Amino acid sequence: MTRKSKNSFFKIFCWLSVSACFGTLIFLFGVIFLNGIPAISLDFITSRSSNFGSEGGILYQIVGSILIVLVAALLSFPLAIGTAIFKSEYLNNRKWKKLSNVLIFGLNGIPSVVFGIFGLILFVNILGFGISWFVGSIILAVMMLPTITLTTFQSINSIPVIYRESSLALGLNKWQTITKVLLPQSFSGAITGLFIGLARAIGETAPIMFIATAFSGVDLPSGIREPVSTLPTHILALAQQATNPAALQNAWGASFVLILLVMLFSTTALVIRKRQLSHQRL
Amino acid sequence: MFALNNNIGKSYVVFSTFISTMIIFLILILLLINSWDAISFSGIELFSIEWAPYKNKYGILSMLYGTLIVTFTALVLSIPLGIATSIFTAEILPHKYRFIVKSLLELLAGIPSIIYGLIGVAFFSIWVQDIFQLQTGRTLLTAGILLSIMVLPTIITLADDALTNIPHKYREASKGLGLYDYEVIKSTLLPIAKSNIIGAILLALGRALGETMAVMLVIGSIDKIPSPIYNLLTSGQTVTSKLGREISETAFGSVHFSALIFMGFVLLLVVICFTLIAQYFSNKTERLYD
Amino acid sequence: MKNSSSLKIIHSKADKQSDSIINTEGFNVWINDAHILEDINITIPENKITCIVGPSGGGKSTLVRSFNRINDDIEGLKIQGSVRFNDSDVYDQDIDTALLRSKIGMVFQKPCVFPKSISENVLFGLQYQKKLSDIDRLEIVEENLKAVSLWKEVSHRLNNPANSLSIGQQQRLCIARTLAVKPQVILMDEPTSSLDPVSGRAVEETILKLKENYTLVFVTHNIRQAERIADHLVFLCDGKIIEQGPVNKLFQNAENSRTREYLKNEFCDC
Repeated sequence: MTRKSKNSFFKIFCWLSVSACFGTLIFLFGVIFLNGIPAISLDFITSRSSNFGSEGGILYQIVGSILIVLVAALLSFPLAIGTAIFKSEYLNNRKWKKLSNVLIFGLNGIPSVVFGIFGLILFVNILGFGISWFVGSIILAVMMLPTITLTTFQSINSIPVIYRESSLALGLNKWQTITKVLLPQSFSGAITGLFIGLARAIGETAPIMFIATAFSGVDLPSGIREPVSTLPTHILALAQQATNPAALQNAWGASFVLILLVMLFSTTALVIRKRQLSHQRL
Repeated sequence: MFALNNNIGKSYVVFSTFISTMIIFLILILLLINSWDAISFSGIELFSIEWAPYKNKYGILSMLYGTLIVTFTALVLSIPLGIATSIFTAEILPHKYRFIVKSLLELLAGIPSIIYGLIGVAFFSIWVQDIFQLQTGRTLLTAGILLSIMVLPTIITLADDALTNIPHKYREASKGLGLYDYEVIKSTLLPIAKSNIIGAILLALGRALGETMAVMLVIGSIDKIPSPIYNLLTSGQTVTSKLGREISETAFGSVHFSALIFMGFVLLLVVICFTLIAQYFSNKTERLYD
Repeated sequence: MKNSSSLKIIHSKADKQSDSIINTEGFNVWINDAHILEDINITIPENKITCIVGPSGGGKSTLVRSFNRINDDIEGLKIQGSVRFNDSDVYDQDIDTALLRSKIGMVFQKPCVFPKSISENVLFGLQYQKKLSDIDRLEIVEENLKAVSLWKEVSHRLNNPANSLSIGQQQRLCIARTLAVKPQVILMDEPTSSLDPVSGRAVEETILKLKENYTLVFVTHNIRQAERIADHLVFLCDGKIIEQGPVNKLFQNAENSRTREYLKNEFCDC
């Protein structure tokens, strides 16, 4: 084979790969939209489910999902910011920096089901919370931690040293510098991470499916030690009844709503990041 | 007064960091402790093939094998596809389309795994069943295919980053000597990006190992190693899928429960190893930028 | 499949136009609607050193980079006119650009050595051509390193990484690497501007040695350098050719007043 034909073959292979990827993307989104939209109706979104989900709507699941991730965000946010501040402003030793990186971002790689069994052991059993939506929030908060920490850290770290020095020179102490100078500027970075974390958390099934959710007869929780129903776990239950067309259709409907929520969070993160970038250029 | 604020602030950040960094240890320790029952009960038999709780047999090998083979399949499919696509996006695609392509990839990466599972159940398992004339489409192959789609965005995005970070002068110098595009990529760009690409692959590996929902729905949940061993067209079981299915129905504190936790612990160790190796590779950029 | 190797390599002297190996006709270049080069009609004589001078931003780099089409990847590039190399238009549809660049080599302003050993760098352009025996390889490495006066300095450490060399040595290595491919023309885009004066002189001496077997085109904003080594001079200002001709003529007897002004005082009011 001549050099030129090798080159051509290679290029063709690249084009084919891209087409395959693109085709897969179109297929996936097409499937979700084409199957999901017919399943959606106002009724579907606003009524509760019945008969193990094959009938009725997904109102409680939507509320449950939003509840569990918002509380998770509330729990995670302050911890993540604190960690990011520490890493950026207080940690100077290079070895410790590397170590903290490994420990925190190692969390990102942990399988989601492992988080689930961790929650099961610690909170449900040892601490005796039982199946509780709040435990679900705690676990999701732990999963969101590395993401929010990373974006906040990048934001704070990118602020030039001169800002800190100017502030200290004016007589502010370290903590005041952080709260009055650094945090306001890096806030959008933190929020970006928050929304990215929300987008991921709302789609999670494995961490919460045996510690926070139940599949049938679930109302809106009235206290902390109660289970909740969420969109992903609902889809799981429906997917396991795939032979029932009514259940399957509802599964597509729930999937569609879930994707919309994920996209809502992701797009918000993107918009915030773009606005931050254009602000920086000014 | 100000000093007090300073100290409170400091305590807060130290406390936060402490929690963030200690969680991973907490998880490891908790899992290990809860595996202890099974370890002392079955010992080395934990690594045998037969899993039959009613017989007090807790061999996790079938699950480990399932995880291995499904991950391997996923990588075999996604690595060539992913790298070729990343070469396309980094070298061939005009700049004005890059934003759209990157956004689409992020979109793909954002699809929750349960939805992949649903699509697997509704489409891929049926296709596999029809194409290969099987009893059921819930096979190791189906899981592998699904996983490969799920890790593609990771490989593509990271490999693309690795390639676009290479300064333009290397392309020009190489092209200027009369090398074809394919040769430029092979002889100049890929060697420079090698470490980062390996890091990307390892990251994808870690994700594939830990994926639960999509695999759980399409793998068939049969706790057996297929015979012959390379037969992907049978049902099987992975660590994650087993955990997902059985843990909620197992009594806390029983040996059964402990054996499941042990399985999770082994998986966690493997994933942590690969994550560490991946970080090592990703940080090992060739020293060329003077 | 079309015959893509349509560059004529062998030609009789009688056919060629006035001993020129490259000439352009009505050549225009736009980058994102900015008119970088305007109506360029240039002649590059064979086996001579042609120097393209002019103030910064005048389009000198763009011009030489058009000869070997290394500009092709630039977004928003538009060209018009012809660039003829050995009587074929370089911008023809079925020109094999890789083959073109093995006939027209290029040395860049900042030396770019690959993260490999010294001898691997020299042989880099040849690795996909025919299979070479170890003896062939050594011969090629020695021959080309000698041609750039680098052999004595590095012959004992050919397997050392190329970036262990000084900048001046790296640039000479890049020239050796280009020579190994045996081009007919060597383009140089300000080859000494990243170097200290001593290394710069070494490179100039190399260029003078090469004149015998190669055609050299180099871009410089250093007029004294042009005076030292050029045979033929092209004065380019603001994308247009002001004047071109033998170096002595331009320095002593330039037709255009702006040429005289620039060569004497390095000032051009374009």
